[in-house]
Amino acid sequence: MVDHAQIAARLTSPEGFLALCDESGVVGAKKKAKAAFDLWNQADQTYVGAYRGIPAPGGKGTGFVIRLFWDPSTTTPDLGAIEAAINGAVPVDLIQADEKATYKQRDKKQGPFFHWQGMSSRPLSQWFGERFGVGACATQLFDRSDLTQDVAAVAVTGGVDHLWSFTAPQ
Amino acid sequence: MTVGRAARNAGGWLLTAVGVVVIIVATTADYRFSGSAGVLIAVAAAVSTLVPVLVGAAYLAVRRRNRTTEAVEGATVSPRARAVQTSLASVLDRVNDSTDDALGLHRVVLGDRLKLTAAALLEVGDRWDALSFIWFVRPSQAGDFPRSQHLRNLPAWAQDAVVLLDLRRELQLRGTESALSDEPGFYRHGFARVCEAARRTGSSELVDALLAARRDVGQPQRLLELLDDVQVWGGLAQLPPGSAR
Repeated sequence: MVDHAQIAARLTSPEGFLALCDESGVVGAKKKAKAAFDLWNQADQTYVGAYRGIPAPGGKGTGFVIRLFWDPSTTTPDLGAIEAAINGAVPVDLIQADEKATYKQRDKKQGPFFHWQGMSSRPLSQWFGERFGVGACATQLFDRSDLTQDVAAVAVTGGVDHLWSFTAPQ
Repeated sequence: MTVGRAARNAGGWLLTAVGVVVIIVATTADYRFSGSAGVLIAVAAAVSTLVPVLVGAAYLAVRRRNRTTEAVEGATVSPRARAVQTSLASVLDRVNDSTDDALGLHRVVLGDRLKLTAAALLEVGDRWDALSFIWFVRPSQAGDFPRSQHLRNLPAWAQDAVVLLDLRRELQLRGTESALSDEPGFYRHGFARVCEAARRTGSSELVDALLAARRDVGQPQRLLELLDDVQVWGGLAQLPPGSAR
């Protein structure tokens, strides 16, 4: 069981972000950690919640992954039904359109603290939000960890949400 | 495991073994096929590629016919038509598994299994299983499901079940005010319809709790408890399958 409150308590400094990052040794990670922390600190609303990446149809090469994130204190989504819906019911063109939009809107300068942004305004996230109460975005599958990470840090600034995903510390 | 299934499994293994031996003989021995053997092999190869494609095409045709039937007011797909579709789907499962979805029909088949239709419910049989089926596939329906022909074509008890399960979902996701609102929404059916469904369960407690929640919007706890109570669902679930209401 992941203790989200404990992880949230550690996100009080750039070092806290750095410790959660998968690639904390990469050049420039410290600087990016500070940028991430500033964004987190100045956000109107933040929560540390659950993350889940599920492979999705419609992609080429490594394929697509749909990144889901939610606040476990308010919702407990039915992951089996979500997986079935992704494989059988979510329109493929909706997934493809969202992947394009998500890639276009990404913050290109974020490096090791990569985060996705603006999900809540897009139709795919609304599709999942309406049905399951979770936020979502579709991206290319970049790394194995996209499917194994389990913690989401979500910060909302001026109606735009930002998503970082991490692996919970053991 | 039944005897029939065991025999089929053994037969399958035997055929595989014969196939392997034939391949080994054909590839290693200095062996030339006679004219008729060559023709036989060509025919076998053609059949083994054609049959899966034909099954796929047949599935799409049957599915289309069933869909057209379902779209008509009050019409339901005959059990036989549904059975044909289900059998073809299970053959396609094998084809998709062994060819890594070369036909590209895996998603189509799965999508059809997630459709909430009267015929699909008949196949489930047991009412309690039907309730879990409705709960599981409900989020995968189209956005306008509450106002669609698909909902109106379900048996009356299933329509009530959909309405109450949707109430439960909406309560949990967005709270009392949203759940009892008359505005259209993915899990919303309007307060009057919700009350009607609650009355059909025969649980006066549920109806009272609904009315109280509407008057005094706040804690959805009491409603949630009642919606999780097996006895409340008994009214909908205990009638024998197929009985008219």
